[in-house]
Amino acid sequence: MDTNQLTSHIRTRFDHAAAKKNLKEKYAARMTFGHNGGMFKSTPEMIVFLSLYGEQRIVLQDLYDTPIEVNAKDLIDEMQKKWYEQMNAWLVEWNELQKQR
Amino acid sequence: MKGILIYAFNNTNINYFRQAVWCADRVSKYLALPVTIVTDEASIGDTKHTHNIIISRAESGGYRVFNPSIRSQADIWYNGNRFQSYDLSPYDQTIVLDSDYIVCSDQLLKLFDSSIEVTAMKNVYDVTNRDQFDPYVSISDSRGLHHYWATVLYFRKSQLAKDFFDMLTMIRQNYHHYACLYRFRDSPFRNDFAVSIALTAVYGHIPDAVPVIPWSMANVFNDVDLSTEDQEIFHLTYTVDKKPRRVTITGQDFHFMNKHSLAKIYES
Repeated sequence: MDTNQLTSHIRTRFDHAAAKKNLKEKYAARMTFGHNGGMFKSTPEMIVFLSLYGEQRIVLQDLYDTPIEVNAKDLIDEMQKKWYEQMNAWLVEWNELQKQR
Repeated sequence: MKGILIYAFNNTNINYFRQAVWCADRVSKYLALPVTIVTDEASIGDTKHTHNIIISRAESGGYRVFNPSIRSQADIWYNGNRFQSYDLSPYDQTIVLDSDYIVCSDQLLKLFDSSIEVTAMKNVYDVTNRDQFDPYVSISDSRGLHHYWATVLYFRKSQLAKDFFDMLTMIRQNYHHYACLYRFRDSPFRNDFAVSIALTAVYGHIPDAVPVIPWSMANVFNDVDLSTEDQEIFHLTYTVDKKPRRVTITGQDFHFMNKHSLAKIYES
């Protein structure tokens, strides 16, 4: 950034509403992942649902409405990992966002 | 084998090849995938690069205004080659990327994990929160055909993907007919429109049956200015009710439409 850009940057107000929305979309995208040829999204509802099945093999409908056979434990492990990692990263970025002016 | 395909044909306004090389360098960094750039000798010029090159003849899609502040200066838009992707791609699984798609994460790798044969972006959102893309829901008000974005187009070599690109070729060759049928302007040629028609057709003319990329694309309109500190953090500046605003993007891919502002980044 040159001096003019820096001056303009300081005078321009940070758009918190846009930044908040971007973070939400960014982490929604990151919750998506491929598993056994299907595409899934890590959600609290899916994690709770999968926890009912232990290590059983079950058939789930993926994001493309395709039936995919999965091992419930393998999928819940991947979903929980994704969920914890991304929610924590989102929180860190959210806290940083609060300091922006 | 997986890889990325980018088209880049210069006109007098935009050095698309340089833009594509910058985009391809980011693909190498974030996705660790090979990139093939489809271009011509004139566009390459003396630009240094480390990517695969396929030389092709630039296909004009007509004229368009590239600088919104100088509306009288229209230039040729060489955007008509995309139908060649199935034949030109050296990869079994390919993502065709617009050269103004700024890769900042490994998100696109997820496309290779699904069994989908051909797909594109449907859902987008305006990074500046001004809802500039709300009109881009349908390519035709009267016929209700969904608008799909050709910015990120994924396919794996298969019969369905072949059918899609054959269909795209037919639409390219008979664009005026399809423009009349779906009631949109027939010039300049729009890849988004051709892809929307072809995707809808190969998935049986049932709009909701098209398997789209399952996340939203971050889109930035062509009135937004871009700056960066280290090519990792991007600052977008724009106006809301004539007041200057800015927002910062990091670790998130986005489609940036202001080619002149983008040029300042890759030329620096």
